[in-house]
Amino acid sequence: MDLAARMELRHVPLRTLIAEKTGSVDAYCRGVNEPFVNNENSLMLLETAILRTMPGLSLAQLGQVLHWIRIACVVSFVLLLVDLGGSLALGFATLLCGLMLLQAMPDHVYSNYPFLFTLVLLDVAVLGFAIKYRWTDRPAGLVWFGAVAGVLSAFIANMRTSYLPIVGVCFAAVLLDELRARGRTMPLGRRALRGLTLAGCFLVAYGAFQTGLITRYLPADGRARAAHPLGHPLVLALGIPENAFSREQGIRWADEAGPQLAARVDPSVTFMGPGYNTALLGYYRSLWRTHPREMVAVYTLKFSLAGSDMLRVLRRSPGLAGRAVSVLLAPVALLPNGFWLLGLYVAVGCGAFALYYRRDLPAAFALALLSVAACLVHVESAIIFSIFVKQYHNYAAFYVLFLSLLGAQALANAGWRLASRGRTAAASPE
Amino acid sequence: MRPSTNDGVPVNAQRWQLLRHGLLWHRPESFRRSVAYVLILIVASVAVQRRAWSVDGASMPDGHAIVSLDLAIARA
Repeated sequence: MDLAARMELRHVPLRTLIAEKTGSVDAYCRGVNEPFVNNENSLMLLETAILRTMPGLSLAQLGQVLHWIRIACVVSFVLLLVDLGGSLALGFATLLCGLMLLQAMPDHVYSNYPFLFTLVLLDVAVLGFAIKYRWTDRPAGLVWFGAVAGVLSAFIANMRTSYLPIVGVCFAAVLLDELRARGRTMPLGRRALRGLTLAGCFLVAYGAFQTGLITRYLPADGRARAAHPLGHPLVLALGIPENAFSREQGIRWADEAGPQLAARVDPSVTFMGPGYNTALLGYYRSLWRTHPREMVAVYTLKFSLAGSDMLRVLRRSPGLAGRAVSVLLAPVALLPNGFWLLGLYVAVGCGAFALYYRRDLPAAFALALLSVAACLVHVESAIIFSIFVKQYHNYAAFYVLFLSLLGAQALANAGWRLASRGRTAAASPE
Repeated sequence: MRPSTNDGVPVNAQRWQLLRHGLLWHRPESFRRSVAYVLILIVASVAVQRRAWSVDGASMPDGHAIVSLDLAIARA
């Protein structure tokens, strides 16, 4: 299908286009017999499910359904927020921030990028509700929640390979919580057994998704390619932003630079072929061995830039929303660079975890999960693409906006408390 | 006599509660109420940002998206 080159056909049902091109849908299906290994397959699985449910869709309608699914993920998070006690103003502003970010990626309607922040929000919503309503207290809930979390985590990791640590750490936090007494009179051995059951259900569901929907369709030599390779972006990202060392080494953010760099270790490898990732990782290690000072300087530059560039771009957004964002982010923008921003995320995350474990507040747990995700996304953006790009870093943008909204909410609550004290003091007799 | 509603809750108290729920972080209440609030928020966001709820992707510059769509059509 050459739809990408003829987007004016996006309003014609896909089945009609196929029939026009190949004579009939059956003829098209018979002609599709060439094996192809894709990476990050969740988008393809989701589109397959949508097209099986609604076979008469056009491309534009498919994009609309994908958009509504993303909005539903944001709404699920807003529901958690309101259910935990967040004000309607906070919920509304959070929903508008989510919509604003989705609207800011008009060229990526059919892409997996707008799913990055929305799926993290869905994951936090599911785990947050599980903590608030103690879904794991009953054996059936334990099994079902483990399975749902496993499938959702596998779906997210196959939407973006680098988000596997996020879903892994978030689930680990829930698992750790299962081992706590939480006011129950259950002995430690029994809690450990429940934790093992939960972890087992998670792993079985994750494995079932991975094997049943992805790996079993792939040839044995193509299984490693179902995930995004690490070596390729890790090495090429040394050229983001362009610097003296990257120029000296000939490293730049372009796919064609990858095979040239890999050939310095193994001249026989081809782009994304067998041994390509290993060769690039070998080249990366050799850079640390031979140029440690230059590598430290490159990463210092990248970590300084990560996040701070995002604040600059977000605060320059056009229109009324842009001015509101500029005011909202003004306090965070006082932080001098990306190191400080990462420090803030770590501090908020640690504080939220401590608050949850001391006072059993599910809202603190949800904030801790959001902060863990923000730390990991920030580190990823510092190591890989340090300059802000909305489609890559939309979760980081959402988190910094949400954190600022929480700050505004805290100010509103503090103001109300002060006003209440003033009223009480004025009303009380001398 | 204090003004009251049918369920006996004073109107003033209801107003304060609405104000607290609208502007302040408050003690969580029932899940049903949260769902009702979120439905109101959805309607409000459609009223304020109607364009944000619909998209018309006029370009597909992402190679991964093209491959995923091709495979999805073939599998569906």
